[in-house]
Amino acid sequence: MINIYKSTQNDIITIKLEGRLDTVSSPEVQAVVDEFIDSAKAFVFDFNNLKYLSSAGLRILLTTQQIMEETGRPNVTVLGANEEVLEIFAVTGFDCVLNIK
Amino acid sequence: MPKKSFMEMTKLQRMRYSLSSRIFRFVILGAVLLGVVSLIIELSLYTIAVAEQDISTAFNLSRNASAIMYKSADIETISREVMKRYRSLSEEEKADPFSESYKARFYDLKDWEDYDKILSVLNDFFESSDVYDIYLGMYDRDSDAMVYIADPDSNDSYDPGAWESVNHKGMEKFLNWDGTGMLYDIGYIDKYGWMCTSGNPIRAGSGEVVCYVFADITLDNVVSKVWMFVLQHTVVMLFVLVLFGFLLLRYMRKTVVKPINDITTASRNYSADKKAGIRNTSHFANLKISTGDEIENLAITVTEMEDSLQDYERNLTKITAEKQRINTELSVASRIQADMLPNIFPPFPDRKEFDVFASMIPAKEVGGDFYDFFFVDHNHLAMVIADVSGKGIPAAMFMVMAKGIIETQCMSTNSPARVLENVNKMICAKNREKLFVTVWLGILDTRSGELIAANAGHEYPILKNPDSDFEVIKDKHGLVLGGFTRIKYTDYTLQMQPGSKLFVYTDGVAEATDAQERMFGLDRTVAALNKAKDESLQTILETVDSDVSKFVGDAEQFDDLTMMCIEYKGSSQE
Repeated sequence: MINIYKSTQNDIITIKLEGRLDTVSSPEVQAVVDEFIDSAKAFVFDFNNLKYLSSAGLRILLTTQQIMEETGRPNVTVLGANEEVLEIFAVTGFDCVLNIK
Repeated sequence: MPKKSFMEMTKLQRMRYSLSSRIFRFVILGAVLLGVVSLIIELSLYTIAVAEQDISTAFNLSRNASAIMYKSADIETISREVMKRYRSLSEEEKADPFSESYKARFYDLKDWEDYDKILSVLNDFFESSDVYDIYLGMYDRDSDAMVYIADPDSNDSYDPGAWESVNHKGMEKFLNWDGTGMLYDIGYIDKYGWMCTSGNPIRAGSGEVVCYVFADITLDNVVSKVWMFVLQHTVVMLFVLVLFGFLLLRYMRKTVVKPINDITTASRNYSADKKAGIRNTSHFANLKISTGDEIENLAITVTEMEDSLQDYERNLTKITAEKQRINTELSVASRIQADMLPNIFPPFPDRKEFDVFASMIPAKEVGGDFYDFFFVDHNHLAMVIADVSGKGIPAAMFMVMAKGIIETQCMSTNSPARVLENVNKMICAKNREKLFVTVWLGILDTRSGELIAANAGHEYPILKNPDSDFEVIKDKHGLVLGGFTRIKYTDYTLQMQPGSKLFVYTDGVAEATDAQERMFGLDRTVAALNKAKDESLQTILETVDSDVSKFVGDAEQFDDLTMMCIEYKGSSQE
């Protein structure tokens, strides 16, 4: 179960997620990312209320970062991730490529 | 008692409730009703016509009689005389018109010449017609009585001056007649039954009515004629009705009941065939229904339904077969995948320096997890545990590719970090589907126990040194493989003592989730390992597996569960 809130400011897309980002909910989030991937200057993922992140969720972050880098807009930021999610980022090495705040 | 359904009825009940007999009853009832109504209308028209004929006969009779009498006799004088004498009498004297004393007052009139003439004319008319009576009379308004002047009726003759009380209303009609149409009055008299009295006034020179010629006709023959008519009509109507009903019944049976019964039988046979597993039936197509109405339409529709159901069935069979084929292929794929992983333990029976045990339980038929171990050269054992993002066939195919590339790359360098960098570059180059894989790769020098390892986004390894517990090693992580070509990985070294055990696993272990969405976690994993820390490698893995299963309970397992454990036993030279 996931709630997705999106907002745009100066082509910076903020996607706020509440709940679990897993295999079940990832297509919904992917759809939101796809909607803005061509126009966005930067993506901000607000993880303040995200409880769990699975490999399907990681894949979304990774592909977003890949596409943004390929098109010269390497600005994917993750905000407010909880400790468990930060641990996942550390274990998977995502902390090396994502801008985590 | 509730009414039974048509199927439960006996033959007799079915006949009663059948569509044809219901329509038959309905039509007969309607026809009878219609017949009765039309009979009533016809009857009244007929009665009026017959009565009118009789009335006109009587009217003409009275008119002719009056015309002839007028010429042949002096009616005025005798009429006036009778009325004069009548009116001069007191009530008492008039009381009994049949008494001899009363009659005597008028007796002499019978001897008048005119009286005889009048009587003979009236008699002629009486003899030559069906009239009940034809007579000359005058109405006296004051006493409301009909006073006879001349009456030829031999049976029931009235002398001049005889009177009888009459219907005032009927007589008024005669008095107020304007001379157009026919003058008559119909009434019921106990003595005579239904009677029609028709009359014609005879006027004096002054225009004053002095008397009337009345012709009475009985309407009894009208009534008998009408009864005859009713009888004939009813007989004919019943005959026609029964004939019509019978024909209708036969027609309904042929065009409605039989086709419907045929469709019912066909449906029953159809479902019986379906139950018996017979395909390609044509029960409805064989129906010969050409009524050209809704029933034929129904037959056509059910035939089409049978066809489309058959198509559907064929499709379903095809789809089911297809699905079975895919399932078979999936299970073959799953077996192939399992066979790709080393699964004979001990794998190297002649190598005493180490022991290794591994297991993989996929969540679906095929998964993206894998483990691997192989000798790079005589003294170096490479160990891999990996987890491809995603599930099913795509993950499995990606896994096969990754496994192959890792094995080949291990042959070219002894540094796991370099291997991972090379593999990452190769995977990135072909990774259009944007899958990625986490890999832990270690290369053990079997002589010294030195383990060089690198980690591409994979779970922390868990190490147990001799005489201590299993502990998590927070090693340095690089990004998962398949993300960015530029990623660098770093080697790190673990020195294994004889008796050291290293446990590596995929996220299926720590992230196994129970019904309350709680995760098994690293702490429970370490605890499970420590429960069996001194047991054989197989027992250790089985302990972790059973603890995970107990924790998960009835909740569905979403991720593959893959574990590998290696124990260093020391150099064989020592």
